[in-house]
Amino acid sequence: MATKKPTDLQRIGDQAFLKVEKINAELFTLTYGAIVGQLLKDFESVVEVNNQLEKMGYNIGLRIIDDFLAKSSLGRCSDLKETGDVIGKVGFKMFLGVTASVSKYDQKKQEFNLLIEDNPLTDFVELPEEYKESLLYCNILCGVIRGALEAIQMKVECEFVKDALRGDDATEIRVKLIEIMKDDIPADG
Amino acid sequence: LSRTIQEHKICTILYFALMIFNLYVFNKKGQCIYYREWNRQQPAENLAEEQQLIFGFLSAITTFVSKTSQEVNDKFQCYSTSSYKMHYFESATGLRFLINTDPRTPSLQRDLRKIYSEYYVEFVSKNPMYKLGDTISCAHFIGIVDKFITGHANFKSE
Repeated sequence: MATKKPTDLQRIGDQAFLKVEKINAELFTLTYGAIVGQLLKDFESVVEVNNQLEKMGYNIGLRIIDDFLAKSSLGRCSDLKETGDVIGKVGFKMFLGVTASVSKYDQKKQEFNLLIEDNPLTDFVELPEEYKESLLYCNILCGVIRGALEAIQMKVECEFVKDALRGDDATEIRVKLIEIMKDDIPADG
Repeated sequence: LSRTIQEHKICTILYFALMIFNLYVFNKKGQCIYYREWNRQQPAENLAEEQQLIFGFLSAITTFVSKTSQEVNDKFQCYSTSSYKMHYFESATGLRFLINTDPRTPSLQRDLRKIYSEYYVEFVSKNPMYKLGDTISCAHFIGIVDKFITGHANFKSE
């Protein structure tokens, strides 16, 4: 199977974007903000809020992957770089309406960074001082990527390396492939 | 054609009619999460055992195909005997869809793909009340699959 070029994937992403139902962007941003706000009220520590966001994302990822595969009709990726391109150009486009690009692909370490320039989750959001150091506002995205890839047998670690809300110049997520899970034949009985 | 119609009237087992028998959906752990039959000649003696047998066979044959095929990502699609044909589709997420039909029915790959991408994704996977991997009891899914299969050109021919 030939590796798809980023330009092809951009086209596939645009086509898939046309097929999905849309939601008002402000409603989306406000709803997500309400979720984070409520989690901050419910949980004592910010670390716990970060974990909860990742967990929520994980559960979303497990389901969203079927929707993604159904609407994009994409098959297996030939290498990790292609996986990153597919997530950024097709996945992000379909579900967030914006694209992300792969930066810093390291084949030896089996990891890549996703550079997110435009993030609908963070429109109009400013973190107060008390949370600026610790809160990973968009941690749900890390969970979604982890859950989605796990459902297709790829175990990954996902974390923010740069966050515009915390003062960095850009928002970047690092995705590191831990292992490709082999099918276990279930035991009899 | 006239001979076919005569045999059709004589035989109790309808060998020459187009017919869709049943549908199985397995999760990646090997559990049958959905089973529906429409035209089955003989009811199964032990459905659970039958499902286990089928899954065991599917694991073996998909592994065999991936090991022996010249092409990367080649997929097992169907087998047929003199009395039935089994059509198979597996999603990248490990969901396995299986339909048994009469031996003359042409490939149902697209239909299986449709059941996955339009019915499973929309009515099961997106249903927050449905726990992934559980037996499917979503009324919408059951209804729409029934409608799709019973309205299919190959469902039953007289």
